[in-house]
Formats: sequence, structure tokens, C-alpha cells
Amino acid sequence: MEEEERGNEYLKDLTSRVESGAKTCKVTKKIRHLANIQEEYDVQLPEDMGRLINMHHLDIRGTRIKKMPAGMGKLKDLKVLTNFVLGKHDGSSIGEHDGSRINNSVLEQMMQPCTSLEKLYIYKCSELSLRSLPEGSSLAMTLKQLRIEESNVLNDSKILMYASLESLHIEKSRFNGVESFPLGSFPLLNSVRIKSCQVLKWIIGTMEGEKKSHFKHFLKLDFVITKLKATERESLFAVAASTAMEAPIRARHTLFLSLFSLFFFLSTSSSLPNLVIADAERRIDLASHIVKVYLTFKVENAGSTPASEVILAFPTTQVDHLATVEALATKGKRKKTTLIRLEVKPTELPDAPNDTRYFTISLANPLNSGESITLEVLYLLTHSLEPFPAEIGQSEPQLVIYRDSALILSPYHVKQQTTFLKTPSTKVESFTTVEPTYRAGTEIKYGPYEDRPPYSSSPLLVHFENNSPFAVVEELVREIEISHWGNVQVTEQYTLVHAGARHKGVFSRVDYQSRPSFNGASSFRYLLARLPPRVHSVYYRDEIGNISSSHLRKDSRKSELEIEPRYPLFGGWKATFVIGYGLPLQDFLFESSGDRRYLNFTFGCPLLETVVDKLTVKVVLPEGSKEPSAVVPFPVEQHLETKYSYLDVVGRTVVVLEKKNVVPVHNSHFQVYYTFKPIFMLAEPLMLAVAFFLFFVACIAYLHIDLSIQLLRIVSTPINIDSDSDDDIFLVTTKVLWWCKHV
Amino acid sequence: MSSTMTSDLLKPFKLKTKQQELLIRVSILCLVYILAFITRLFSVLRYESMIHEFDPYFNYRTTLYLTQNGFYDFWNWFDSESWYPLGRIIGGTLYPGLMVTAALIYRLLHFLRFAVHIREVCVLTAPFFASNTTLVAYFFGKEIWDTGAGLVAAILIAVCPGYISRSVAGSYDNEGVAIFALLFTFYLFVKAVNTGSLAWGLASAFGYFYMVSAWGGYVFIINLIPLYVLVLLITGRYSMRLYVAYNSMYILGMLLAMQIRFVGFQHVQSGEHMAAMGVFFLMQVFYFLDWVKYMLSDTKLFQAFLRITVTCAVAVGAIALGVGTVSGYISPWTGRFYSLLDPTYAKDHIPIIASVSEHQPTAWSSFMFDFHILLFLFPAGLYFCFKRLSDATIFIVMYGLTSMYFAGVMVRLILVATPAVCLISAIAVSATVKNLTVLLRSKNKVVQTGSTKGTSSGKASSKGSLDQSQPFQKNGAMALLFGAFYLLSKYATHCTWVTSEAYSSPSIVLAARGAHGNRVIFDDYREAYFWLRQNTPQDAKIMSWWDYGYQITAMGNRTVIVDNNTWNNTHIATVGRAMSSYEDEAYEIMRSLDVDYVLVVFGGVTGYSSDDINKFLWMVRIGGGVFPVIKEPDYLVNGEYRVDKGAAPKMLNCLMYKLSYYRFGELVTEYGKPPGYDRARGVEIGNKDIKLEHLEEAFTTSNWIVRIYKVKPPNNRW
Repeated sequence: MEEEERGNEYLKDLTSRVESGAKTCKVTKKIRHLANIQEEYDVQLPEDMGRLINMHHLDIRGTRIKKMPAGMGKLKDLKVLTNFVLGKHDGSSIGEHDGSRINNSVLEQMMQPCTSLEKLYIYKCSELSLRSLPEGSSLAMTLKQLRIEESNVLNDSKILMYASLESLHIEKSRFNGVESFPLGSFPLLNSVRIKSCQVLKWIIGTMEGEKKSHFKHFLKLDFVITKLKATERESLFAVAASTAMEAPIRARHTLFLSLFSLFFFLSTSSSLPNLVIADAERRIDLASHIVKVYLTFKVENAGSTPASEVILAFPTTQVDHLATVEALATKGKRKKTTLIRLEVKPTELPDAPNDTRYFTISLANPLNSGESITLEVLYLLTHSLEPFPAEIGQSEPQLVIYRDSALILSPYHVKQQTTFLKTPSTKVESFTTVEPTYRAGTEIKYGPYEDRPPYSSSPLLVHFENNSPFAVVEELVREIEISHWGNVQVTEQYTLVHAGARHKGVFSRVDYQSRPSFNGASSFRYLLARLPPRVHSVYYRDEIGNISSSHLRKDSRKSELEIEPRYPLFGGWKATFVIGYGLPLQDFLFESSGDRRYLNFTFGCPLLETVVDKLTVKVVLPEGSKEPSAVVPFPVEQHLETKYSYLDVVGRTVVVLEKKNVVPVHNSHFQVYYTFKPIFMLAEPLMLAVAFFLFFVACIAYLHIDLSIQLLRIVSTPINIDSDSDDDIFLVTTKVLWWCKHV
Repeated sequence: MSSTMTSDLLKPFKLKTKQQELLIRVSILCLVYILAFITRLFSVLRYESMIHEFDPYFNYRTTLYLTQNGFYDFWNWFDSESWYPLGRIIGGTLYPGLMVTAALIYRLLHFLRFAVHIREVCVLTAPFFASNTTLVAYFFGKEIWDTGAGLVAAILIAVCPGYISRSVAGSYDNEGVAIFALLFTFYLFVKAVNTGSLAWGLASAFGYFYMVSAWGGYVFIINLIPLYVLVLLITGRYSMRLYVAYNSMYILGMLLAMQIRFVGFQHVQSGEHMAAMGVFFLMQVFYFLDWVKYMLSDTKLFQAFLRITVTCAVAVGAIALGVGTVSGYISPWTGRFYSLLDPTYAKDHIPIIASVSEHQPTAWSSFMFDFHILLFLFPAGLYFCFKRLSDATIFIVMYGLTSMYFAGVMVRLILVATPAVCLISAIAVSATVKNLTVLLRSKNKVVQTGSTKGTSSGKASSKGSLDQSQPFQKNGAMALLFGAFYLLSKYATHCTWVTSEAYSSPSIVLAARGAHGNRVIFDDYREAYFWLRQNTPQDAKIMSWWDYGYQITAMGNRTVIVDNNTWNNTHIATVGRAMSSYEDEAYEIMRSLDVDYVLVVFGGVTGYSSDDINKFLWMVRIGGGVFPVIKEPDYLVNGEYRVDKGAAPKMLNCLMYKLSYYRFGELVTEYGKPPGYDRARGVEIGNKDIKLEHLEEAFTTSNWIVRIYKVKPPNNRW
């Protein structure tokens, strides 16, 4: 205890010293037990923690530590580590981007030298920060207690390696990678608590033959299983029951098997008030390669408590392709409808089925009991049309498959629903029939379906012709350079690819030229970029030079740039190019207050109807700018760089914003604020002026200083040489005289 | 009062005549410097900032590599992208001067925080060095004649088309830097000879080193300078100055030049460099004899001694040369050297040299095109040089005469002759104008009657003496002066016109006038190369005729079988053989070379005449030179080369024909003509039903200029 206090004090001391800006302090290597730093300490672990090599126990539960120090890997003797904090990661906050960038090897690296770790608690780790459990060779020998809580550790399969486990607690964690959990591989296990794990389907108590004795250590077996889908619930239940039956009850203490029974979600969840969707209509537009889904539904509050949120559910497969979700509330009666934009945020429900992700719509006013509201949701899906066949020849049309569910996936009971699918043409190869299904022209209607329970689904597959250009920009880097001399220079680097069915075999120019409608119907020649008005000095080039095929149309509201890649893009063909243009500064730069200014610019890709897989926006601020900050209407990753351009001395600050899966909807404005003193504008002209001045001074100096060695004068008038002159000069003179004789 | 005060104030600023002259001279030089630069920018303004032609693409690619990977990697670079499967050791097979220069400029600019792209540096290297050449020309002119001649030389060389043809912006080739280096070396050497200064001699050695590192044309220097020294020796102009200048320049220059890996020990082993060595030893003999003469007072004895020594020296030299040649230590002259001395040599022995259009003997029209009035001023300048003979003028006369001969042998060597022609013409212009102005300004002087020079020759002048008996002489001088200025202004307009019309097209982008007078651009080459770069596997091997090798590697970033560095004749002949064989035979060859794609250039749709069909006979000749299976007469009908119905059957079915005209028979190229009408040759093609068995069309550019075929994998054997 004394030791503990000492350590505690030491830590406080250390922290205060770090805060007061002192340099490093000596760390005694002998502190063994650094424990229970309570919640009141808003501490930072000292950077030189790594020197406490003899420490056994580190308990930092409840502290607000944001980041573990770097040298943690040196703590060889560590036996208990309560929390490993990988930096807070919150999808919406952009300030704390540390956590997201820690790769999965951090924990592993850190664990590698811990040869005697016995307890490991993993708490609230999202999959972004930790992808798999540590894989130290020694961990398998020493780890006795493992506790995973609320962590979506992506790959749990390594858990099977920890053969020395005695106690295993897993709560509210997805159990990816391990569908079945063989208890038999943990011979020393005496306490298991598995609660609310979604993916886990089987718990196998393999008791084959003589290995039955393994279960003699069991002290406590506690399965708390809640909220599973109906189908899975049954199988797990069966298995669990059979496990229980098969398992020889040889445990010395009580075997506690509690199977909490399973309810429908409506009844238990506190986060899901008793909402019911009265009427839902979904329109899926498959005309281009960006799938647009308009979902209109009327929500009724059938429960007693007011509801402030409505939850949207998406299958995991769609969430990865989901570019944007927007929700609007319709208010008022028929003619006087007004639309209010509502906030949509991704959330996690603790007891959700395994392959579902959620978005919450926050209502402007809570929905009281018995009231109803009509919501309109628009969401866009990219990369959701799968070309089939995957390779086509030049003359074949492009056929694609769209998969979805005929029933709307929803955590609520849906009383009535209809789905309309709009295909680009009447050429539909096949579509799933879920009665009632009608097809008329380019529209397929599914429904109406009535009274469907939550999470009901029915697979739907449409195979149809879609020859619209599948223009996907794999990577786009937009560089916006601000010059306070009146120009904003934008440079955009594209890696464009045709993401449709791959081109196969011959490309025949004759066929392509003579019968354009039948040949290469899915290929595209032109792209249209919509640029801001008053654009000037536009260029369009690639690595090997200018591309001479582009047209610019300008009017007062917008400029349209029609660009043509060097060759028509067939499926799978790529093209890289750069577009650059200048814009007048006054249209985009505004003064905020004092020296504070902000740039107001569009975020997304100026090309129409394209998907950008990875967009990087770099705002190059003028040299001497300070305190940059960006305001973007949606979550982006953000960091700072330095760039050296013409005549830069200290370099320009670059605000880098990165976002994946960008669609034209993201072409909204964002702002970058920064402080800039106008006097810095004069730095470069002054530098040039000084340089020229010095050059001329040097020239004048050169003209006025005679640097030549005056040999000839000496030679022509040798009498001038004083008798006491240097021997050297005399030598030179004699040489020259000799030379002249020869010449 | 105030006026006197201001004049007093201005007094320190009033320039003396000498200062005025300096100011004028410096301003003229600055203007010429700028003029030389901007007159070469037509192509940048008209097209874009891009690299031209073929060889510059290789230079650009290597420069890019140099800036990205550093000098040592560049020096040790083994390039597997060319000459597949042989590869090429870049460091040992190129003259690195140009690349290193561009990379240094690039580094310097980046050090000064000018964030330019290396491409811009490469594009503007040649104009930059052309500007520097004007400065050198000024100093050279000043050295051999006077400052006036120097200024005129600077102006003439700034716009001379013969030089512009190789130094427009984008023509990033060795010559762009080498002409500067050549003239600079000559200037330094002449300066060394004139002063006898060791410093200038060593400076000229360094100039020579730069020249060696930049261009194979350094052989001209290392042969011209010994020749010049020999002439001076024979004409009795041997002096200590010459001794110092030549020895320092030769020894240090030789040692430095050996540092270039591509040159290596050639200075002591190759027959082309033996003249310099011989003259070096001869020089020592001369010095020795001079010393003996100084020691021996008896003339008769000296005569005898002289006879013995010279005989011995010549005998020893001849024996050494003979033994060296026979034992193989001294390599004989190369074919290229022979073809320089004998214009007909290449045609008979090295078809690969003869196939290049710039290696053809020069026509009179191109002399006129490139030199314009300089062609007439040149003899006049020679006349002035002979009138005022000095070491320097002897040098420029010899440089002019030899380079004019070489310019007559090969079109591309007009470039080497240009500085000499400009300098000699500048002497003519300067001397004439000077004489005429002296004539005009001497009105108030009471001049004694002197012998008047004949003014029958338009350029010759009277030596500044005014004959009172000829009252029209002043008017005549005035008229002649106006005539001279008229001619010079004509020269300026001609140069600008030639530069803009003939020498400023990048040849990779073709421009034509459309039906409505608008400019139509055919950008097919880059379309094809970029397609290769983006849509073929990274390790694909492309077979094409060697002309396009450098461009494919630089722009397409793919491996080629042969390229413009024509060092392996057999390999090129193999490609020529594949192109001129039947498809199945060619397929075997292509399989053995791992070819994935075949690229042909075809101008039948656009009427572009320098396409592969027109080059095809050279492929046959070069292929047949190594593989006797290929016989030129098989492709000709009665000695005539045709592609229409009357063409030879072998011609109609060879790979090149098939690839060029595949499915061309279905296309109507010109209104009122049958389908399959070849606009480049003006005939309807003879084989419209072409089937390909082992290849398939992979890509054809929008104007059909480049066609790419994919070689199919062999059929499954079952």
C-alpha cells in the first residue's frame, strides 16, 4: 500500500512537472505497483513510462487518459494492465484522429515483450483502432484472465490460442471470426461469462473421450444470451442445451447456466420506443451507377413514452456502400408542406442482430404517444450494381445485378410497405418475384406487403441492362491554393476508371466508328465537370502532356468543362489526368474578424455523376498563415502538412481533408478558417527586390574593382619594379620576358 | 543658374564615350540573349510545353530517373525496359552531360524555391543554352576580329535556322547543349593560343570535357584542333603559345574525357583519336628541334640533324600505328566515321544509318533554307579572314571549311557548321559595315587620294579612303549600307518564318488545316502511348519499329524490343524480319521474343506519309542484311514498291501489311473513292480481306495513326 501511494504521488508529481514544462525527470526503475489512479485525476501518463521496467501492476480504470505513452512495450514485468487506451475514437469528432490511425499491430507490439502478463482487459475498442487480439507467443502461456467489454474486436479468432486462460469474460462484443467456441481448448478455464455476443453461434463443449476431465476446473459458467434473431436463437439454444446435457457435471462448484430468454426487440429495448411504421414507400432508382433510394414512411408512436429518435436499419453489405443518408421531415398539410432537414447519425444498438447497422434520425420535436410523422429519407449506394457477366465484348450491352430486400429492413413493425424499382430501360433479364409483384415499363413494383414484423426480409435480385457510364474516380486529390494576390488556384488529380463490366477481347475502331449505338454502348467518351463561374486559365493534361480535347462553356452562374479522355473508356480501362483552373479570390475568401479569414469552397468532385472512392482535399494556405481550422458539414479525416512552393522560406500550411466514398451530394461548401497578416504578402516581392538589388550592386562592384594581376604593366615598364619588390613578382616577370622572347 | 546647377548635378552621371559604348554593347547582348531564347518558344506557344521527336524522350526519361534516384543510381542503371531481353546499361552507353546539366539546373531552381517541374527544365534547356551560345559567339568574334564582329556574330547565331532546328524549346537533345560546349571549347582554345596562357588552355580542356560528356560530336574537336595545329606548324606559325595551349588542352582534356564511361580508353585506343596523339608527339619533336637549333649554332649541322630526326619520328610513328592497328590495340575507324568521310559508304554498308533521313547528304535547298544570306556572306568572310591572317582567323577558316564539308555529307551536321558560318559571315558584315560607315563619316576630312578598291563586289569595300574624283562614292556607300541592312532584315524575317513553320512542330502531335481553315490536331501517338501505359500489364513487351522505341518507353512506360539507340543490328534485323514475314512465321519470332503487343504506325486514313508502310523497305533491307531469307525483290514488282492490287504477293501477306490494313478495306476514307483508299499513297489497297490468326486488334487510335495488336497465347494442345 505504501508502495502504491508512492507511485501515485510520483505520478502526480510527474504529471505536474510535465505540465509545467520541465524537461524529463529521473524515473526510478523500482516502482512496482502503480495503481488505482482515480477518476479525479485528469492525468496523462508520462512519456517515459517505458523506463519503469519493473512495474507489475498498472491500473488506470476510470481515468481520462487519452493515449498510452510510446515506450509501453518495454514493461517486461507487467502482470496486470487494466485498460489499454488507444486514443478515443469518435466518428464525428475530427479533432481526435489519433485513435483511428493506430494500426492493429500496436497492441501486438506492445504485448510482445510482456512475458508475464496475466490479466488483460479490453474495453470499448472499436474495430477501427484494434483489428485483432494480440498474438504474443508468451501470452498463450501466462494470460490467466481476459476481459473484453463493448469491443467490436474484428478478429477474435486468436482467443483460441490463449490456452492458459482461467477466466474469460466477454460482454457486449461482436464475436467476429469465431462462430463456434470450443470450450475444450481451454483446459484451465474455470469461469466463463459470455453476454450479448452477436456472431457467436455455437458453443461446443467437446468432450471427446478422455479429455473430459478438462471441465473439472469449472467454477462458473454464465451465458447471458439476449436478443438474437429467431433462427439463430433456436440453434444456439439447442446447442447450449445439448452442451449442458453432454457436459458431465463434474464441476466441483455450482454450474450456473442461466439462459435468459429471448424476447422480441420491441418489448425489451429501452432505446426503441414503441414505434410502428404505418406506411412505407421505397423508390429505388437504378438509372445510373449510383443507386438512389427514396424512402418515405409514416411513423406512429404506439407506446406510451415520447420518442425523440427514429432508427433506420441497413444490412452490413449495404452500409459499406452507403455514401450518404439524408432525412427530411414533412410538416403541414397537403399544400403547405415544408421540409425540415433532420440530423442523421450512425449508431450502434447494443442488442442488434449481427448483420445490421443503424442510423438514428433525431426528430426536431419528440413524437408523443399516438402522434405520427412522415419522414423522407434519401440514401445513395455506390458500387452496388454488380456487372453480370463480369466481362463483355465490344458489341454486348452491359448487364448488372442489383440485390436488396423486397421488404424494408427496419427495427419496427411495418404495417404496410411498397417498393418501386426503376430500371434505366425496359430491358430486364430477370427479377425475383415476391408476390405481389408487378412490372410495367421501366418500373417494377413489389408490394404492398402488410404487417411485417421487425427485421423481416426477403431477398430480391434484379438483372437488367444499364449502359450508363460507370465512371468511378478511384482517387481524387484536389489542391486549393490561396494567393492573397487575388487568385485561387485549383489543381485536381484524377484516377478515373470504368467500373462496369470489364472489356474483353478485341477493340475494333471500325465498328466503334461506324455503328456507335451497338458498339461500346457502356463505354464513355465525355465527362462533364461543373466548375465555379468566372473560372480562368483552365488546363487539362496528364503525365505525358496536354490533352487537346476539352471544351469550356462559361456563363454568369457556372462554367462547364467538357473533357474527353485520350481514348474512350471501356470497362476496366483507366485514365489519369489533371485539371487545373484559377478563380478570382474575392468569390471564395471572406474576412471573419480581425486577421481571421475563411475560404468557402465546394468539397466534392466537380465531375457530374461520378463516385469518388477516396477524396483528398488539400487547402494550401498562404505562407505565414496561422491557426487553421476546417468546418465541414460531414465527418472527414483531417491533418496538416507543409508544402514548399515558389519562393517559400518556412513553407505553407496545408489543411488536408480526406473522405471516402464521395458522391455528387457531397458537393456542399466547407470552410477553412485561418489567421493571416497582410504584411506577409509583401515578403516575396521584397525578397525578389533585394535579390535584384544585390545582383546590381555586385555588377557595379565588379566593374569598379580591377581584379586583374597587372603583369603587362610590369613587363612594359620593368624599371618600375622597386628594388625591394617581391621575389615572386620578379620571377613572374622574368618568366614573362622569356616567354615574350619566344612569342 | 538652375540649369548650370542641374548640369553640375548630372555631371557625375554623364557617361564617357567608352562607357556609352559599353552600355550599348551590354544592352545589345542582353537583347540578343533574350531574342535567342524567345525565338525558340514558338512550339511552346503553338502547342504546349512538351518534349519533341524521338531521342529527346529517352533523354527526358533518363533525366527523370536521375532527379528521382540520384546520380549513382543513374550511373549504375540497368534498364530492363529497352532491348528486351538484352536490356541496356544506361550509365555506360550514354553521354550524361545533358541529363546532368538539366538535373543541376533543376536542383538549383528548387534550392532557390522555384517549384518547377523537371519537364519544364528539360524543355527550356536547349533555348537556354542557345542563349549562352550567343554570348560565346560574341566573345569568339571579339577574339578573332573585333567587338563589332562579335556582336554581329551573336545576332546571327541567335536566329540562324541551322542552329534553331536543334535547339527549339522541347528539343531536349544532346546537340542543344553540345553546340554551346563546342563553340565554348573552340573559343577557349583560340584564346589560349592567342595568349599562351596556361589558364585558358586548362579552361579549354574543361570545356572539352563538358563537350565529351554531352555529345559524340566531340570527335570533331579532337580532330580539328590537331589539324589546326598541324597547319600552323606547316605554315611556320609554331610558337610557345601554341605549344602551351595544345599540350595543356590535350593532356588534361584526354584524362578528363576518360572519366566518361561511354568514351573510356578510346582516346588512346581508337583510330579516330590517333591524329591528336600524333600531333602531340610531333609537337614535342618540334620543341626538341627548336631547342637543338638554339643550342647548335651551325645551320648545316642542324639541317642534317633535322632530316634524321624527322625521318626517325615519322618512321617511329608509322611503325607504332601499324603495330597498334595490326595487334588490335588501336581499333580501326568506325563505320560512322567512314560514312562522314565518304558519303556513299553508309548506303552500301550500313543500311541502318542510311535509313535515317537526317543522315542523308544535304540538298542545296536545305543549305539555302538553313543559312539564307550567310551562304553568300561566308565566302566574303573568308576573304576578309585571309586578308588579315592570324592564328585565330586561320582557326575559324579551318573550322568553317571542314564543317561545311561535313554539312554537305550529312544533313544533321549543318548544325556543326552553323557557328562557323555565322562567325565568318559576321566578320564579312562587320568589316563591310565598318568600312562603309568610315567612308560616310569621313566627309570633313581632307583625304588624300588613295588607291580605291574595286567596289564591283557587293560586299567588298574601299578601305576607308574617299576618292574625290568619285563624287558618287558616298552615295554608293550609303546605298550599299542600306542594301546590307535590307539583306539582314530579310535574313531576320526568313529565320523567323523558318523557325515558326518548319522547326517548331513537335512531330509527336500533328497539326493540319481542317475544311474550314481551323486547326485540326492529331494527337494519336500520345493517345496510343497513354493507352499502353494505363491498360496493359505492367510487364508487357511491345514490338514496334525502332523509331518508336524511346517514345514507348518514355510515354507508355512499357518494355520494348528495339529502340532508337541502334546498337544491336541483329536485334533490329529480327524485328524487321518479323514485320516482313508471313503471320505464322512472324508469330514464331514474336513468341521467341515474348512479345505481347505489336504497335504499327499507319497513315492511310489521315494521309500521314511517314508511317510504317513507307518505312517498310528499310525494314526489309535491314532484316535481309542479317537474315538472307528476306529478299528485297520479293516485295517489289519490277523494282517498284506498291501496295495496291498489283503489289507483290509477299508484300500483300506480310505481317506489316496485314497489321496496317486490317479491316481498312471496310472504311471509306475519302468521298468519291472506293472503300480502302489509302490517302497516304493515293491508291486503293490490294488486299481487303485480311484475317488475323495469331493476333487481335487491341487498340486503334481515333485517326488510325497508331494501331496496337495483341499477340494471342498459343492454342491449347489437347
